[in-house]
Amino acid sequence: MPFKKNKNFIYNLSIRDSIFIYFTVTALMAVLFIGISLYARLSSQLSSTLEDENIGMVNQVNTSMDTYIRNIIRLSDSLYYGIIKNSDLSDEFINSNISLLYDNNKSYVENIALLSKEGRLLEAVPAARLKDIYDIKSEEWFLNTLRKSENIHFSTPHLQYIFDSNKNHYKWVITVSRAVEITVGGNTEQAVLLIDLRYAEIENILNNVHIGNRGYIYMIDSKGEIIWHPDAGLLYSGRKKENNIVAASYSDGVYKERFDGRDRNIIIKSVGYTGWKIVAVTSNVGITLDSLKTKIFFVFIIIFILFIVALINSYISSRITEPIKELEKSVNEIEEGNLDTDVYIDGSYEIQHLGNSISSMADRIKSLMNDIVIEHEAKRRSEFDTLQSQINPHFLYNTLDIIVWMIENERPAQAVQVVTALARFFRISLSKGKNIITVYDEIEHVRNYLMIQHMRFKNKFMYEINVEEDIQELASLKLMLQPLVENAIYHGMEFMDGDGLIRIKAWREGESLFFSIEDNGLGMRKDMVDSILYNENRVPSKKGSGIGVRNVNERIKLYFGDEYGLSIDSEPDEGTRITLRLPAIAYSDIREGKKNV
Amino acid sequence: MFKKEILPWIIFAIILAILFIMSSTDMIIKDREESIFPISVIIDDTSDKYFTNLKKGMDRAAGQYNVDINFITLYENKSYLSQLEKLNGEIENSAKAIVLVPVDITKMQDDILKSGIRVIILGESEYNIESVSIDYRKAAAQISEVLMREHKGDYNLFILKHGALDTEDRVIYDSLIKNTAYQNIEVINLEVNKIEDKLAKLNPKEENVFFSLDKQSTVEISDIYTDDEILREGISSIYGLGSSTYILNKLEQGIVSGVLVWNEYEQGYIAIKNAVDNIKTPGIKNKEVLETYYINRENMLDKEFVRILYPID
Repeated sequence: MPFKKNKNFIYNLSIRDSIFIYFTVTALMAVLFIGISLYARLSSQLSSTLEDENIGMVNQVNTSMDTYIRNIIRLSDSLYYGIIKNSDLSDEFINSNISLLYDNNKSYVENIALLSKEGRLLEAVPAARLKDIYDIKSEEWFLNTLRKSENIHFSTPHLQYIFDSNKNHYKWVITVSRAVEITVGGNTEQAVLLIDLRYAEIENILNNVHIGNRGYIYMIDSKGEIIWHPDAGLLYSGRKKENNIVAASYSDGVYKERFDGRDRNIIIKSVGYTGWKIVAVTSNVGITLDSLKTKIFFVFIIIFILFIVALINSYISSRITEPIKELEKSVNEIEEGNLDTDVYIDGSYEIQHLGNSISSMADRIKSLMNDIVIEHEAKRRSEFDTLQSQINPHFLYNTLDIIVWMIENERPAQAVQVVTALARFFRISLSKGKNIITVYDEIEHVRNYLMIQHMRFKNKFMYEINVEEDIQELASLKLMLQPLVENAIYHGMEFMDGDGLIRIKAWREGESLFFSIEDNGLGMRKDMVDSILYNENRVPSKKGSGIGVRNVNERIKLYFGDEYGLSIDSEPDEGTRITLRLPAIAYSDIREGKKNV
Repeated sequence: MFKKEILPWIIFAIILAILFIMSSTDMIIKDREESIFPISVIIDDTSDKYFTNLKKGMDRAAGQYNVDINFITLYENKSYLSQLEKLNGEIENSAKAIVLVPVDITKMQDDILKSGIRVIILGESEYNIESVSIDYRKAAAQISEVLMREHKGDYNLFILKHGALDTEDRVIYDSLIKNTAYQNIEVINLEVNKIEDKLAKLNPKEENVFFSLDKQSTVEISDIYTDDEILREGISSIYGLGSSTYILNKLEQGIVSGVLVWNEYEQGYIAIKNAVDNIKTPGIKNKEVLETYYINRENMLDKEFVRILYPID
């Protein structure tokens, strides 16, 4: 039956392809799983490290701001406690002392001024005048400073407008103010010490801070008003937005927020004394593959690993399946009929064992085929012999001689008997070429033969034929009894003088059909019996049909099996009995094909 | 059979090689180089004195977008032809874009369009040219409203300008004619006429209101008010379009009554940003319109305005 491929692709995969695909897919999944897990883990680790660094950076900035504020406070204290408090304002050295302090700090100080509680300018370094359009004492910052006299007040960045300044320039400052006690002409009064800090100095501290992962830093006061922002100009024009008001509500720490459609991390750190907050903003996106080349490299690594894994899998699967393929080739050769092909026996233990088994199987098939050939050859030979014996010329000549003698001797009735018996004999001998006939026909055949021979041998012997009635229609081999009877006549009855007896019986026992041919002739020794049955070199007698006892035995075994055949019991001078055993098969079964022989 | 087995491996190896070359070398994917964009700014004046805030905005944008700004003033001849000459010169100098404060856009627009270079106009443009400007009609309405509010009786209105009125000036002029209750209206070209001569002829008993269409004119008239006690008599109020620190000082002192301003820092920033956007993605044509605000002494220090008038950068 031709091998039909299963329509399902999976089932048609070779062992090699299956091993290759399954191992490769498994390895790929493992690699991807490990890769993604590691990537996520490392990404998380890096994000955490980055966050720690950003926090460190913010702390550093805070330290710088803190130092800056402390310096300012120290300057304010120096001005107050070192100069103003212990001096009378009428003292001419006050201005030079203030100027000295100013000169030492002018990199970040714009103005130092002392204002009376009425808003009059008492001292100013560098020298300046107040614009008379503004009433200082009604300014909110001035009133606040006097009200909360124990504190040093830090303003948010503002335009310095109270002093008459260069017409073409303006200054943004952060004003540090405190209530002070001054002595004027021996009288103590309250006043306001004002230090204007250059805004640029704050900018210097905050502008060059780099926060990783596309971040930035800005500073707000306690109400959220921006003190410094890298995009301040854009914020004020409305081009950019910032979440500064919300940031003012956070205490120190790290927060996640969503603003303007983006997730981001916020680090808050308060600057001491002022209530200001440093806000660091970083993108919430972890360490990602943000460049095309990095993405491609990642793909390259995955494909490279896949390539190596596939290569290894291909090698392993080849090592496993190559012996199977070679064995398959050998089996194909055997399938095509070349049983002499060398079966491949190599590879793993199982494949070697399989190869050995196939080789043994091929040898066995070869042997069986040879046996069949031999058997067919034997059959053919025996059938040829049988065919040849169907028309035995000696028997025919002798019988015709008898007929002629009978006619010449005016015994027509006997001649008719002999002719009729001869006709029947030959008719059954031919049986239209069939090798299996009924028991009835086989007995008839031998009966006709015996009749003719009985007449020929002038009553040298008698014969009896006993056949059970119910076995007439069983199957029998053609030309089975006649050769045996022939032998009995020629070798057993030859020297008998009228008291020879040939007895033929046929009966059934269970599933077996028996025939026996018994004579009371010369008998044989055992060695002769064996020689008849087994000696292949024995020349068949020319007197008989030429088939011989061995031929009958072989034919029975050929057609019905080795368990059937004939057996010979013989004793010298006592006689011989040949028993034939056949299977009891109805002739109709064989004719209709129900049984094969 | 051999080909069937080995071909996928060869293809695999080729793909790997290509991926490696793409990811680890510059042969296929070149690393994006940070381009520097050379952009020239050509103003309509011989000095950049009145463009301080604009320049601050431009500098901020230049830092963010990697721009090399070349700020160009005119020589003595403040004509559109000298501007065109400067423009062509900058094209030859490989400027990728030009930000232009046009002397006269109507006369220049054809040449600008023919030049093929990206141009951003700082001013109104009816043509298919990018611009960053105020809405002159709205500005005109604001000025008219202020004049109507602050001057009830008949007054003489003098419109000052260094040079002839351009299209934008005409919008304001037309609005003032229609919407203000002036007695007389006169345009004085300070390139041609000296303001002192005009002031000398004015009747100090009449209300003479001066409106400057440019900063230089505002400065000149306010300087005369500050320095000349006699001529000051003929000046009742000074208003102006645009501001500078000097003008704001005058505003603070009460010499200038009010100015109509816009965020020049933002204007400069947007001009550079849009120029860069246009270089990266040619064909974009944006027309940005800025808000205008009326500033006087009372509101000039309001938080809302102080950062516009005095940008921190």
